[in-house]
Amino acid sequence: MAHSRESLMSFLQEHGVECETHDHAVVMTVEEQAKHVGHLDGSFSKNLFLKDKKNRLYVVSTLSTTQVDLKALSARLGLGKGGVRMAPEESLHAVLQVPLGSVTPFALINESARSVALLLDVGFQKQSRVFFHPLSNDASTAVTPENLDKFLKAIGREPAYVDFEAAVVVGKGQPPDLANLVPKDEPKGTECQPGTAESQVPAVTPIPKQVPAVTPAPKQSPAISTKKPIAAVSKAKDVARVDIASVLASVLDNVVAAAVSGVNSLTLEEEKKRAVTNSIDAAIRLRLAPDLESTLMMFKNTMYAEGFKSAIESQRHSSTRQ
Amino acid sequence: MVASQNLCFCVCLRSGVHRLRNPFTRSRRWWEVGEEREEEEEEEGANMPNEVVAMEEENAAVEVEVEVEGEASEQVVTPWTVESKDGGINYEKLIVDFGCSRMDADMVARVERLTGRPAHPFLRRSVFFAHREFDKILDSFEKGEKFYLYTGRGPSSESLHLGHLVPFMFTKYLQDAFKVPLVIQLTDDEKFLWKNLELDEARRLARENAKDIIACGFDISRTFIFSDFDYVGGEFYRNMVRISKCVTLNQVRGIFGFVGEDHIGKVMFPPVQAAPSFPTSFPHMFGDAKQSKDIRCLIPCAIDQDPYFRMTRDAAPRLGYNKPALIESTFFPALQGDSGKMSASDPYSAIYVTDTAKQIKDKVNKSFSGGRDTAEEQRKYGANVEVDVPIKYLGFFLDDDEELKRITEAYRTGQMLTGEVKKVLIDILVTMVERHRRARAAVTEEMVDVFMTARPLPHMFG
Repeated sequence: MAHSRESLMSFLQEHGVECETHDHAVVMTVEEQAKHVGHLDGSFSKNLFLKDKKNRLYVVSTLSTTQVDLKALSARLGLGKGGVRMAPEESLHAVLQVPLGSVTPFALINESARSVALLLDVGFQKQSRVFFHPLSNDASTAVTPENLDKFLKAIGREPAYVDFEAAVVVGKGQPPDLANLVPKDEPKGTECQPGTAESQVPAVTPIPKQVPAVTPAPKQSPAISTKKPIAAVSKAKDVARVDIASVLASVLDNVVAAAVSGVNSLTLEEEKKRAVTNSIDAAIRLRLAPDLESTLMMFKNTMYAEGFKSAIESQRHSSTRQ
Repeated sequence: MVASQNLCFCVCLRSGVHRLRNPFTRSRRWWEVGEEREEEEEEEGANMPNEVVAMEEENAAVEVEVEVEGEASEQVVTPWTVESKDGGINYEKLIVDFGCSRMDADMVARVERLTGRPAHPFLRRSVFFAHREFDKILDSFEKGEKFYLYTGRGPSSESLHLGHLVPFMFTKYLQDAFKVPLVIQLTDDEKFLWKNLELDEARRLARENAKDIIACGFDISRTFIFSDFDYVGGEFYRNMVRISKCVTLNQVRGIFGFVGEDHIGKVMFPPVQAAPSFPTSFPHMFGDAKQSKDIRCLIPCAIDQDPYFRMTRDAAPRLGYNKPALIESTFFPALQGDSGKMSASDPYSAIYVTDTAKQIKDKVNKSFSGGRDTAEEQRKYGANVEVDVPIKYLGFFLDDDEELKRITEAYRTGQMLTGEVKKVLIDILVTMVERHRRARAAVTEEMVDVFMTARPLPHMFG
């Protein structure tokens, strides 16, 4: 259920967000916008709608004069080099629910944009007013920085201001400074592209090399082809359960992925690399799986026992105090 | 009386199975897989006069009817004796004699389908090969109904060997695959009654054995371990008394061979083993009769315990309870092959969980081989894989079906030598024993206490 300009306006009024809106013809660039409202008090914003390799979405809203280096931004978000690019038009319609050319922080009023991150130019704070599109680009709405913050808090967001022009070094000793702004959840309603280089290896059953066979003699070669997704991973809702099988599977996947990426970074022929990664995969799953499973089960049992004893003790303690 | 005694004695001689000891004082309970004899029983057996032995043999012969019918019986399998004349136990015949059913490939495939994972090697390789009403358990599981597992150990000694671990390894698989609760009974009272043990020593051994059992990897949030001396009472005891009202003295004489001279502790004991088959014995887990009336019980055990659970299944309907289902295994081979018996006095008869890598290597190298005497003959004629003990052990512990087939074929046709097969087994066993030892070291006293505390298990299903 997308908001319209009207419903946005009533929302702003309801929440005491002062603003001034001017209608004009449809504008696609800041220059055009300036022709219509440049005589009024207020700076212009440029608004980018970006996505990263894991299909997480970002609205980057800056003064039209601010230079945004996408490569540097990507590094500061902890997404590596070239980790962000312009989001596809479908996401614009599906998630932000605004037409082309109308990207605006106001779009985050929509429920569908719940997991979109918003990065605001620190430069906004020095302006008297800034112009944003009120969900369509045939009007411009001016707000003071304080009222912009008011709007964001009213939709349950903490405003995040970034100095896009700061030269921030990201490296071994210096972690990405904007990493906390990266959305936590997978976005809803967007199409997931098939795996990129960083994508996770699909979950596998903990017992390696075998597939449920109807015939008594399963044909199996010790290769990665034995993988199949396990239903246990989708038990995210059931917070109280500790499912050893799914923990084991995800740890093994991470170990294998780490080892495989190590091999892939070597300078070897492709078939040699493949042979090595296959053999590492099989060895890890065969040798490591039973030992790791045993360790995990012991760990779970130890924690449960400690908790149980502690509860008994505290019950005893509180009953003696009466 | 004399004539009939002689007849019985002759029958036994004809059958080629002569027993100098009284078999009935050995109390090999249902989870002591393949444990053929324990030396402590020798001292008790020596005291029994021969006539009594013969008379008991008549009872034994009656119990297993087919074997007695005048012809030479090749094997005797009862809860207290497992013997065969040659070539090992004939399991097909055993199934027919006992009237239980064979596990087939369809059933194994159904298990895989219902649990969404490959079946345990023990199922695929027909180690667990027979059952009673396991299909009913699968039917009810498919409908979303619940069942629990019941297994146990008689804690007669501190040292466990791999044969002891087999039923626990399989039970752990069942617990993980079906996501069901498990009760494990430690019959310290039984060992006190049958063996030359102090009561406190029996209790101590139960606790020590519990650690090895826990090390097999059972989930504390689904598992209740109990020692009879600690737990018997309350609803459990009420079930014991109900069960005892359904079984006559003659019946237990037939099954267990009790005689007038036996102390009444032995006669009292069988209901203790039967009671865990009924969920009302565990009110902290399953609630009362109304709450638990649709919960079934599945008992993984060795097939020699089948007569015993026939008794339990006989009593169940009269008490208004579901009959427990059974899934039964073959016997674990001794290292010296069919002619040998696993015994505590001969360390070379089995691999113990406390063995070092060197000891394992020694024992496997000395084990009974189906290979030829020299490498040349081996390459020329190949090995007898039917009797080769390392191949049998690989059948238990080598998970990969393809690999097992390849090794067996190569060995049979002489492409592989005995030493090579043994090396494969040694690697597997050393890894396994090392893993068990590490897990055992991680078992804390606190963990044992909590496993053995009767507590609610809210997450025990699914």
